[in-house]
Amino acid sequence: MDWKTRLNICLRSLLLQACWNEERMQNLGFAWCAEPWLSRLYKKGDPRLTEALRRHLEFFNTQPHMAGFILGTVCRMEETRALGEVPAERIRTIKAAMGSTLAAVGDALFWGTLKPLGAAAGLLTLLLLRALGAPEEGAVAGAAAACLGIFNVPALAARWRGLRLGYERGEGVVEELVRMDWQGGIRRLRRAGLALSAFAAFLLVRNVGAGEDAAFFAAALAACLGLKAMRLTQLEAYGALAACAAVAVLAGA
Amino acid sequence: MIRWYAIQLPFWCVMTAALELDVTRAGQWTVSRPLVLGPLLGWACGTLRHGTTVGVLIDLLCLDRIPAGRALPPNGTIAVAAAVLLAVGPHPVEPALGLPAALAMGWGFSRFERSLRRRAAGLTRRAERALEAGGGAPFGEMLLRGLAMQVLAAAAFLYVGLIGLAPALSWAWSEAPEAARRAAGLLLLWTPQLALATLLYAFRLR
Repeated sequence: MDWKTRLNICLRSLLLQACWNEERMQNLGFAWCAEPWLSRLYKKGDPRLTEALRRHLEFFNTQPHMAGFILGTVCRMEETRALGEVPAERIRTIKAAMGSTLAAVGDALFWGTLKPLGAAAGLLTLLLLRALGAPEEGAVAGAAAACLGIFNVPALAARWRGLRLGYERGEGVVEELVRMDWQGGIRRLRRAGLALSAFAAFLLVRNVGAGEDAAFFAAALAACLGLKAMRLTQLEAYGALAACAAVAVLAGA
Repeated sequence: MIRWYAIQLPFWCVMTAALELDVTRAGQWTVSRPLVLGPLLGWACGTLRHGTTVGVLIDLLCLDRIPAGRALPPNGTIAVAAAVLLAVGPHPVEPALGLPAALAMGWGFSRFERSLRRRAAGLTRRAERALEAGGGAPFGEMLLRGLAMQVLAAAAFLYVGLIGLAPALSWAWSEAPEAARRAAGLLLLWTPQLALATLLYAFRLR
């Protein structure tokens, strides 16, 4: 797979979810991503091309930033299939298995860790730049840059390198992925996120002022943490907060 | 007022809808996240500080739900755009009322999006029929239709929601009893704590 084809597929993978649907989820996006490679393997009008495209219109879903690994692997397997060496069922099996496994890892990494980590870094950057006297535009730009950088650098790396690794190793990429310490990496990032968030909370409490105001802020924060620990949904927690506000007003606050 | 409702508001709604594609459909670069879009929209509308505040609050409040599989968390992009746009224009809404209304719009859009996803299944079937008919694979065309459908629907949702809500909420605030306004003010005062708690809780050690 040359550099241009890999770039083409990688850019197409950005639209993997463009037509997400309840029935077969990312199927149309995946078929579109695989199309340039399949069109190289088979001539236009070849029934094997139609068969391959039809195969990739079947149900598929994964975490979008991890799709590169699966696309690369599928491209390698389709290449081998074009030589008659891999049954179609094997491609389906590997694609489905990788899809669900990488979805779990990717959700925990990107949505569960990197996205909140970006928020923590953005918030902390905003507070620090404001404290240092930066103009509001500068503080906000810094916060946005921190937030976007923390998420997008790993996300783009996963797409690009995943595609390369998946194509180079084919089915063997599964062993490579198993060897990677995903959970360890996620744990370390979460600890960093907790530290950043705690520091941001400290700065916010300090910004409120001294004495009663800061104590009340901290107490309200602790109460909200209690609401979260009760596993309330955000809607329920917000509703609970609204109810507390109403009771406080009725009580004469 | 006419300029706002006929030109400026539709423009911001379409821009927001285009950026909203980044949430799920295109790229997922997180440029659509409230922490980025809020200040950007606020700066463009002349309320940078307000945009930043609501952007941070809504971003943290929306960290709770993960957009995995069929899950549809409240749409933070729609919520933050609503929060900023409700605060400007000919019928500005007090943030104490504007923020909960914006969050409700974000939640409402996520329900609406479910019907959009069902319609997208039709595009897959059309692509399959074209493939069977031997006319090539119009995947790119179907994807573009899906994206266009999403942009139009999001822009329309935001626009119709705002032209209805802004005057209604502005009037409601002026007519509301003092106790209700104080309660709304307290809720706004405590929302940062809930947002911060959501952020801290997101990193709980499992």
